[in-house]
Amino acid sequence: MTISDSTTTFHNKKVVQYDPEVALDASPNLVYRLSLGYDDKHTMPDLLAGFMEKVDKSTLEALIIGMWGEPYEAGADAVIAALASHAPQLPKLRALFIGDMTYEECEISWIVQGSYKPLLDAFPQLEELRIRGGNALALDPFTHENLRKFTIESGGLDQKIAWALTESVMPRLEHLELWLGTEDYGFTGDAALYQRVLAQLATPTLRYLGLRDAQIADELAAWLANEPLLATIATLDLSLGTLGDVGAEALLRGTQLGNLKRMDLSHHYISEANQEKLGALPFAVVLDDPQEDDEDDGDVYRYVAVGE
Amino acid sequence: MVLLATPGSKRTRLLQAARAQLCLPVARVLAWRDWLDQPHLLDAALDQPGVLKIEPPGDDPVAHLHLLHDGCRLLGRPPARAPEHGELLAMDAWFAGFAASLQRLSSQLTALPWARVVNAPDEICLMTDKLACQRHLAAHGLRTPALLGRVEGYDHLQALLHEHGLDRVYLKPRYGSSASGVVAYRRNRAGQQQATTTASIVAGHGAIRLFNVKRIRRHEQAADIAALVDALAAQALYAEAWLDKPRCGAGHYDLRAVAIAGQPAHRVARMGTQMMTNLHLDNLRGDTAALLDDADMAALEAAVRQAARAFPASRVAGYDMVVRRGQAHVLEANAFGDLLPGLLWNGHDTYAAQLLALHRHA
Repeated sequence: MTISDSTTTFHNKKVVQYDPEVALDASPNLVYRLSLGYDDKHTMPDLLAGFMEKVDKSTLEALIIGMWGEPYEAGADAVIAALASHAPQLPKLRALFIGDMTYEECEISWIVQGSYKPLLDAFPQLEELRIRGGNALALDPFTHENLRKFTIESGGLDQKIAWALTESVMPRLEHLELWLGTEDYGFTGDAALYQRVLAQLATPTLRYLGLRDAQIADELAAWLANEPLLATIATLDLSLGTLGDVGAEALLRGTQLGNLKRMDLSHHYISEANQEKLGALPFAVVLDDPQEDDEDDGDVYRYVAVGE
Repeated sequence: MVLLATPGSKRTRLLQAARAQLCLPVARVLAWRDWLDQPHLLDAALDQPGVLKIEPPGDDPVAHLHLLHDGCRLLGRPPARAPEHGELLAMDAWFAGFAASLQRLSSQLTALPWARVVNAPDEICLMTDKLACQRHLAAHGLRTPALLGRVEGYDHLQALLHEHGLDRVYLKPRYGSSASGVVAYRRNRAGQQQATTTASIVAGHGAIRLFNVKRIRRHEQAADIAALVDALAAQALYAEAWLDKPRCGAGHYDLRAVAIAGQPAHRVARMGTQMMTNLHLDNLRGDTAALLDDADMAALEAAVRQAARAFPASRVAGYDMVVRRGQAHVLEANAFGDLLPGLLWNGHDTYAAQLLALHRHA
């Protein structure tokens, strides 16, 4: 079992579960996660309102929203509206994570998300937005002057999200992370579409590109290996997907990877011979969590890490 | 001390190691298979004052098959074939045979009044019937997940969920051990459903067979889930409400606490990102002192004491619990719940600690 850092720290702060019965800790190194249990009677907007009464709103920098009521029934729109209503009192809020739920709490493909344009409009100073769940996720093309980190975690990302990103503007973007998932859970699109996304969103400040959990990892690798826009990128993250020898060999022949510091290919289907060659590249290559093909009646199946 | 056990098994080795560490003589081991064939061997082994510890018979396939055949006879069924490695086969018949053997053991022990037992056979039997055990604990005032009772099959499960207004339950083989055959089942009003389980279903030769696997699987198609639930229900299955477990990182944890002589002793958090947190399934041990606040720790200890009072003739038992917001719920009691290698409490592992407690209460 691995416990991912993303859920023990967020925005460089330690994650703490908010308990309405316990006094708040005002330390700037903590970020609270607001989350309901299945046995809770109150609603997320109520929990949020109670939190807002206790917290120093003028200094709050980051917030995590976990389970809202029954997230596989009711979407995130009510939560987004509640957050937006508090926005005028939150001048320092820089980071939001909406949908921090575990697999046990709610299967990622069951999380009903919401429409994010109102949130982005309400928080023009936001620097980091992390969204978990691609189901019913809606994103109109947007311009946001201050976002540095933009992440969507999904078991199957609809191409309409990628198309919206091809018309969006984030001039200060440093970290772009998209979990593409599989067709079984709603993924549509192809490598050419993500090429357009990158062409639109690559800024001189972009340092991290993650196209993760992708069923099309091999196709992504074949494109990225020769993508001139990788010139500024320090970390290329193709982890959690189904990358195999086809993608690995494309990366080994790549012409545009010279400036990378790190390439994360964890959860892969790459042969040992190619793993060895990748390990010899002049930057760090992470090859953790190797997978094996699942063969059934002569058909070979490969699974992404999150979504199956 | 006499062990009714499987010679050379991990449990036997750990107990003997603890005895050596405490400078106690080696315990005599009576193999389950030998006792089943020749009960008088126990009279000979316990011909003078001593202690009998009953370990589970499951480590030995010969003893397992013996109990399975006994059970088939008692239930008027033809003898079952020997299960393959990891196969879940006629668990209800196995239990019938096991329960009968414990009854015989109990009568045999009444003629050996100088012999003490670590855990009495009738309480071992009650804890091994997981559904009866949960009812027993609830009757003794312990919090348990809401019980939906026996599940006769997939359609019956749907009816039970409707009746109880629930969308999330754990399905457990009534006579299973550990996570064997356990299914975490959830559905939503969009019509999706999911079963996460250690049971793998294999169809072939006109019969559906069930195997216990270490890699947890998920099923999402109604037909697959129905086949699984029906096959498990044929061996006796029950449902209980799915409790929220406290979160830790990207996963959750529940707790295993051991009661020794009625008092809470060893305790460990079982942390994992899957629905089954049993420690043999790639989950991690966590330090309870770091995870539980004072109220939760007090609730844990109080629940262990109370559970131990519900089993007064069991000197060593494990309790699986969810402790959250100052409340402890007991998920399961385990008469053989002391197999926690290397876990220390006051400097002793579970085996040394129970031997010391036996010595104190001699």
